[in-house]
This record gives sequence, C-alpha cells and structure tokens, in this order.
Amino acid sequence: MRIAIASGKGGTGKTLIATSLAVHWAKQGKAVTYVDADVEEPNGHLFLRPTFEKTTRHTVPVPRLAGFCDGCAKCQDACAFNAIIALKERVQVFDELCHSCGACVNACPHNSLKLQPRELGDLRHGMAKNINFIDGLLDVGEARATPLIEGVVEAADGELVIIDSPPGASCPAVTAIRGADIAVLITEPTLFGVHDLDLAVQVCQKLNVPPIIVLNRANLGGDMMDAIKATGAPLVAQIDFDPQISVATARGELAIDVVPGFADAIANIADAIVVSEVVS
Amino acid sequence: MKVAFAIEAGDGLNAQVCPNFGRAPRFLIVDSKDNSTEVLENKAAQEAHGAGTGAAAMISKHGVQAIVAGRFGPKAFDALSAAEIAMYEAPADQTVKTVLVQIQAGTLKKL
Repeated sequence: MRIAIASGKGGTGKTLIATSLAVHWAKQGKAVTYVDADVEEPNGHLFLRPTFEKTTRHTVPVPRLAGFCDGCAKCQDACAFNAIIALKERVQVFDELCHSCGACVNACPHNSLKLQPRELGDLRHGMAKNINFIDGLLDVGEARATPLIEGVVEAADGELVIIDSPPGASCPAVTAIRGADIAVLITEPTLFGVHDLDLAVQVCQKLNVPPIIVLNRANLGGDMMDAIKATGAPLVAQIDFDPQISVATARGELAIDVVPGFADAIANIADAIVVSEVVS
Repeated sequence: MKVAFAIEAGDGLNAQVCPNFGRAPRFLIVDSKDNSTEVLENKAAQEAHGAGTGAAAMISKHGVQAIVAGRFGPKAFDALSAAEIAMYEAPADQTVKTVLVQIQAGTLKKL
C-alpha cells in the first residue's frame, strides 16, 4: 500500500504525521518504507536520523549537438517547451526548460542531436532503525525538481510505503501523489489551510487517488468544519495542538516517542488509513 | 536595419513599447530603410514556461538585427545573445517612433 501524505498549504504537519506513521507501523513489526519526496527541502531525515548506505547522482537526459547543423530549426519546431532554439549553424538548449522527451532528437534530419545525462541531485537510501529510508536532495539552484521526485518515488517498494510529499498543488505535489493508493491530506483550521486543502482534494480527484483529511491543531484557529465538508473528502482524524509536540519537533525529536497521548492520535490515523483503503 | 518592438497593441509607429519581452502580446517589426512595418503575434506569450525562449526563437527566424522591450528575462537574454540580436530596454510608455529615433541617433544604449 502506497500512502501519500500531502497538504496543499505548507507547514500543516506532513512530516510530523508521515514520520510518526512510519515509526508507528515499524513498531508493529511491519515493513515500512519512508520516502521524503520534498526534494527541495527534505526534513524527514532530521527526525528519523537514518544511516545513509547508498547515495547516487540522479540524472535526466538532455540533448546536445554532436554533429552537422544547418540551423533548419526542425528541433525548435518539435519542442513543446521552447527549450531548444536554432541558431545559424548550431542550437542552444535551455536545460531547465527541457522535459527530456527526445522529440528534438527524432526531428533532427541529420541525426546530430544526442541525449546526455544531466545531474539534478542526490538520491539517498538508508535505514532508520528498521525503517527503509529514501530521500532526494535537489542541487541548489536546480529548477527541475520533478524528475528527482519521480526517482525517489519509483525507488520505493514494500508492504507499506509512506510518501512525504511536497506542499502545493502543481507538478512537484502531483508527481509525489500520482500512483498512490490513498492520499492523506493534512490541514489546519485556518482560511489558508482550508483554501489550499480544497485545491489538494481537486488534485487527488484528477489523479484518481482517494483523499482523506486529517485536521491538525484542530483546537486552534476557527471553525472550518463546513468548509472542510464542502471539499467532499472525508475528515478521518483530528489532532489538538499540544505545545509538547511543538517543543519535541523543534528539537528534532519524534513526538510519538516523547509526548503522552500523541502515539494514540497517530494510531487512530493509521487505523483510519487502513479502513479507508479497504472501503475505497 | 530591421528592428523588432515588443508592443501591447496597435500596428503602427505610434504603438507603445510593452514592459516585457517574452509575454508581449505582439511584435512590430520596423524596417528602418522605409519605416515599413509588419506585425507578428507572439504565440509564446501564453506558455506556462519558456515564453522568453519561444519569443526569441520566433524573432530570430525573422531576420531582425535589434529588439526593443521594457525588459528581458534571463533566458530570453541568453537566447537573443546567442542569436546575435541587439537588445534595447526602453520605458514602456514610449512609442515605437520615439525609441526608433533614439536608436538611430545612438542615444539608447545596447544591453
């Protein structure tokens, strides 16, 4: 079972819930893989503290001119992303716009374009006690996060895969959620939280991934129950704000290990996920 | 010399310069020999990404020697530099006619 932990709005508690679920299921003896798909700002390792065993450089193919060019611009016309432009007797490739589709390579009448690997960042494998740990670390200044997110998501398999997704409702979040069996959307009772939750629900519906909602810091902010209901996704659990959780998190500790009662809240969410998966 | 201008609307020398290059709705190409003009719709203007490189590719196909806009994005700058097209930044409220005179007089600096 593949479980995407996502949100829409940032800072709602995705990593808190995702790492806690990993610890919860691992304690039950289940084979758990935790995937940190937030490759621009991966934080899961700060809490699970894995020992990294293997780090590989993740690459994407990009076209390079390796032969005769008369500037015919057939490659430029074939590119849907304006990533290659034809000059007098050469081409210029804009790597950060290139989606590695290879259309330009096929279009070149002289067969002069070759795909070459371009590095985007690190893909890391490790173990955190008995939790399989995978994350990605995008190079600073790199514009293309989605191929590395695909890399980390595809690297994970096993009985239970928890995908700690990036926030938002665009390509990075879509890439992390796509292919999951269920999406757990973490929100908070604020206008921002619920507004972005609605977008995240719509993303899940387009991806055919059934969404369920967990309301974090439920006793803070306003009454958002009607707005949450209006998204059409079921609210399966609520966690009240507890300063002890914040303190533990600020210290990089696992709240599930040190805050009384929090383990029960996580157990409830874990049960709700399993039940929702069976129902859907 | 053929000079392209990023413009918001219109089709003559009184058109105003558009603040952005890549997302300009259209370009006006002026041949300074006889001040004849040609309008080019910017098909790249609505692209999610790559409007600047798309517009640069289109402009470079039309054999212009210079391009005027309010400003150029970094990728458009790279593409136009590679295509050896001179870039001029001009205030967005000025007309094509005014800027053309400045270019010909050499008072507007190339980027």
